[in-house]
Amino acid sequence: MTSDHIFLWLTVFIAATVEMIEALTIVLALGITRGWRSALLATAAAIVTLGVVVTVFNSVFSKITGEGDVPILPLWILVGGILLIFGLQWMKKGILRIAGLLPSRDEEQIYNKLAKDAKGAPKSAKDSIDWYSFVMVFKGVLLEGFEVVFIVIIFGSARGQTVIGITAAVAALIFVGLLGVVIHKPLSKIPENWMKLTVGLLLTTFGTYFASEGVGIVWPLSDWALMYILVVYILFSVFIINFLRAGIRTKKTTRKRAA
Amino acid sequence: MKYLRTFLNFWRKFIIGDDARIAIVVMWTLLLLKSLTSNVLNEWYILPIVVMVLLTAIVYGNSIDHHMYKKTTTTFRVFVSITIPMIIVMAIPLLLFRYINSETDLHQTFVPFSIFILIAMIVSGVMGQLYAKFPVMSIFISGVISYLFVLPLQPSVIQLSTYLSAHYQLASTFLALAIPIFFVTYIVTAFRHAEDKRI
Repeated sequence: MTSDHIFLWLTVFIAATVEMIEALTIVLALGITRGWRSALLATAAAIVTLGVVVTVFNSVFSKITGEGDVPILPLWILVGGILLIFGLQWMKKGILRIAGLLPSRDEEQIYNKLAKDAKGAPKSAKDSIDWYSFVMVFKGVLLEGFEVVFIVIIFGSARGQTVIGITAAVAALIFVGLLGVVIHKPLSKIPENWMKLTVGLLLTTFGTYFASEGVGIVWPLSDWALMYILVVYILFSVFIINFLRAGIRTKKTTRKRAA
Repeated sequence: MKYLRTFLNFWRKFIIGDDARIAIVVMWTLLLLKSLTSNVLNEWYILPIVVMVLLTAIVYGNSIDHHMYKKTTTTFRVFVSITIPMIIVMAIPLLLFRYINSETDLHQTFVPFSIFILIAMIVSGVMGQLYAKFPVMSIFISGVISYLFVLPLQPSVIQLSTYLSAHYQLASTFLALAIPIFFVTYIVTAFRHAEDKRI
């Protein structure tokens, strides 16, 4: 396994963990308040749907890129561009949340709201499927999982490494699932903001590398390019976060003095 | 039709997200790098610099307004406010790199690059104005049209710049320097305007 395989596995694993944590909140809220049967059925249905999507897209891309052989360079530009756009969005949110400029996502608050809405919704007959619960969980798990599936497909189309992405996503699903079973409440203590920033950094690094290769750029020390791009982006992120935090502290001090 | 619109909207929000500027800058940078990269030009540092400058600009914009982040109104303003800083970031390292590397004549790289960008900007700005109601789509359309329009011109632009360099050295040097000076002035003015609004 090379270093970029490890980075790829890590990127998908962390991205999938973040999304699965958000999906788990929905499953727990509906499962605890309205019963587990429909919630778990919906979760299984959503996971199967996502699996079908990965299989279909993977076979389409394999045909386009010639059964996983050397990929077409224009495809690398598109793939790199999409990874860059995704990565920068995650980085932006991660940086703003860690710096305190955006409120952090509160899983407990979301859980409480979902549970309150679920208690208020009309219930179905005892032995039939609770369609409210089923639709909410199916939609939630599908939407949260779709971003991970998209990342897996994108990496797979660029490098023919869908299997690595799939194993990472499945590992994250098992990890979060087990945590959910053991802890049995929303995972609010997990540092989601730092995980989002990490995924953003990795996606942006891969996007920069793939897109540049696609336009024909040759990186100096090509085997080490991914490493030094990532290091530069990490240093930059740390600098920007500290800079923004310092700015907020200065504003608060100025306001206190003015008051 | 409604379902088609919902479907397309879902993909637009999914890929572009809540900030179209990221997608626009990335698209522009990759199109321009693709046009410029060759056996001679291998500007590997440009994309990482653009990424870092873009992120800085976006988070700085958020820090100015704190929780009330304002979006720019018209398509043309959005486009110009993105393209100009991006060109600055690309032009300055290229200029410095080629100036330091004395084996390469500045007029053979920077001047055609500047003219290239200027034509692309004018075409895109015009297209952006025509599609003012659909900002994201208009910017993508204008980017693609600029690319198709400007790329075939590249050999002519290089010929033109070679001619200018040979016969009108002063004029071509002025052109090479005037464009980044104009851009820097624009950026400084734009930031000052943003600061005044904040106060």
